[in-house]
Amino acid sequence: MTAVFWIAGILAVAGALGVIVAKTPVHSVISLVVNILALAALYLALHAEFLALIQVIVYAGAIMILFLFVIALLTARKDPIERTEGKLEGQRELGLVTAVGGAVLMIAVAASAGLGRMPANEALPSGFGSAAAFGRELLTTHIFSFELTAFVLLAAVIGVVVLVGRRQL
Amino acid sequence: MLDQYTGVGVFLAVGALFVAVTLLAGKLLRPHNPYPEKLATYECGEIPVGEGQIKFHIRYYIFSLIFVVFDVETVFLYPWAVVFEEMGLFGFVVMMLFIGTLVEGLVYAWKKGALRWV
Amino acid sequence: MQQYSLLLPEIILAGLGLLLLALDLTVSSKRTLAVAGVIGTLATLAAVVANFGAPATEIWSGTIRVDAFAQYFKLIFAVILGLVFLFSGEYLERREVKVGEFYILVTFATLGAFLMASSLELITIYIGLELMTISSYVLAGMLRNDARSSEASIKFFLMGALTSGVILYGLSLLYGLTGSTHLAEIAAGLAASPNASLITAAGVFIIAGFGFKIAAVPFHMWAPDTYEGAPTPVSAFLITASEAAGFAALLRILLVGLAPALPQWQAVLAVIAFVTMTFGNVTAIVQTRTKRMLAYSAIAQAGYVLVGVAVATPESVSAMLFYLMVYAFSTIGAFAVVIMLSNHVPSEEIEDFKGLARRAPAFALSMAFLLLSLIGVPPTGGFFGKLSLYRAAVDGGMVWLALAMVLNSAISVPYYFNVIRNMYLAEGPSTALGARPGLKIALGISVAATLLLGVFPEPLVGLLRTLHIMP
Repeated sequence: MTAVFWIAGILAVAGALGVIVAKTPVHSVISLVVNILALAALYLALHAEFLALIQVIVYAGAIMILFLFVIALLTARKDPIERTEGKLEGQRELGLVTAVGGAVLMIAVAASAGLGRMPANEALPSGFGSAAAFGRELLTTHIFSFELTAFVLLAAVIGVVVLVGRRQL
Repeated sequence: MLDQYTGVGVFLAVGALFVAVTLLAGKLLRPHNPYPEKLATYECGEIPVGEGQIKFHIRYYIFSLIFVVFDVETVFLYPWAVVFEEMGLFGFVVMMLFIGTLVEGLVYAWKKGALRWV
Repeated sequence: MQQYSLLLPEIILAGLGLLLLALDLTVSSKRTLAVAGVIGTLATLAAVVANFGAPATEIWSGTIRVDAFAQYFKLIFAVILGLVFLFSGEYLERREVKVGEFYILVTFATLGAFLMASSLELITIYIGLELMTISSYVLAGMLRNDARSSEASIKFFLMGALTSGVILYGLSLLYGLTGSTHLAEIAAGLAASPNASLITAAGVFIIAGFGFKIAAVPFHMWAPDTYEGAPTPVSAFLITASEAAGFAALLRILLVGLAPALPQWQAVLAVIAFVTMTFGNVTAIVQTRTKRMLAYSAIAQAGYVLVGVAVATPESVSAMLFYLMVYAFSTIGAFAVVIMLSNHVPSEEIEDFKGLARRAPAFALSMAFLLLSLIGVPPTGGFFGKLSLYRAAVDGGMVWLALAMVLNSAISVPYYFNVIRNMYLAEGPSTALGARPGLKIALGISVAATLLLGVFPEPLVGLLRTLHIMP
């Protein structure tokens, strides 16, 4: 279990770093796939089986294809992304400071809370994280938010048609 | 839980190894003799026109966006299908309402011409 | 079956959204949609009012909670939705916005706001938030020929997506600490939890995240550009309904879920409230564009409302609920006048108000009255609202914050009066201006309600006294 956590965790961080360090957009996407798959492995280690599958199907599948389409749309050739600082000077430095500061704070919080000493959650109900458990929750407790998820998706469809669709009609 | 996925892990590792080994073996074994015709893109016997990396039409983008929406819809079908029998008619009605709402979205996209190519 | 009658407002509103979508595909006259929208909103309102007397009920393990608190917010949202249906038509047609989609999305956004106010459960609140914000991103970018509208949408979307993530992280910490997504159980779990630093971290994420949603300083950067660039009816909706929904969810999460940790946040919230109102008011003074001025004014008003959250007594909560209602009417009414004017003069500068007193006397008078309400001058509802917030702050031991409110009201006088001065004292063109009946009705309702809440506030105050966030 711990081995999975370390391997997948390091892969996830490496993938995330690759996304921002890579010079070619396509390489960024591939790094992101690594990151997403590593996260799926972490979910599995946490008994969230269904979530791990969704992670692969939706993110590594559909969303990545979307990313590749956008890249194919915007950068026809293998040109590296143009890196212009523009008017927003000092953004990168500020971002770095914020990121490092945030990370230090989170680690400090985790350390002071004694995450390493937390009792393991052994009393998970059987079938926790499975598609069946998820389905049961969806159709009993969270039925109303489930129905409204359809409206979220519907709003997304309308948004696509309104913002990128034909101007006429 | 994770034990069930040991096979998947082994498969992934062997797959990665296989690619690395074959490419390496090919590099070591093959003769090195490039000439222009050999370097040309293989197009089923046709002579290639233009380059491979072209700009995609924006229409692809609309399709893929709408695809993502309905891909997320399918995600909800799996857990529903698993518990379909125990939930009975109620579960069926709930899912039909869900799908019905999205079907109206599909009809909308269709009528507004978002699914038409030209 | 009884639970479905309690859900009737949401069901009607969802049905209205689907009906409008069907009508948009079949009917060519867009006014039909507006009429259907108004009728649907009235039905929703009736269902909301009918539920007021019902005892507080939790449905589906508390994912939906129907109580007076929720009904009150739904009342505000439904009224705003109805007014938006009434006053938007001409503007949308002139600017070539897709009218049908606008009505549909604004209905969906309101549905999301309903859900946010009507739940004590984190996942449900989050779905409501997403429904509201995703619809709003699209709404903000609906002027496709206007680069500023696209900019508004993009900024709103990027900041909104980021802050949704921030909120979600905070909520996940709460779930991790307590093993529950129900706010009452979270409160019980937190009271027994020894992990003070993790609870603080969760509080930071949640307050920062919702701070973005209600455009509190220092989380406001997206707001002026978004409110300025978005189509004017959308700005009106975002400033009123979307902000009120943010407050509804924030109140529930802070005062119910994080109740054990609340005392340590009150000082922080008070400082945020102070900075927000001061920054909004000072920056609004130098604005020359109407919508940008109103955007900063909205930030300042959010600061006043935040006072109610920071003081966190039953009196302060009912004072802020009262203020939210008045604020919704005053702002929507002021936006109705801005929309009327921009239908004739598209530039949307404050200068455009010059001579409005002669060009459209009734509109000018209404605008002056509504601006006085935003300042807080008697006999408007704004005066009574500010007074009760002030009293609650003093009673709650935050005298300095109460004084800051008074000082800020004084700071806000110049920029609101600048509009009034332009309307009444400056020379301008003399052609008469008019509007469609719908806009006039919306303006009339807003002015009447603002006046009524100022002259007879007692009925609403009495109602608010009976309403509790928790059983």
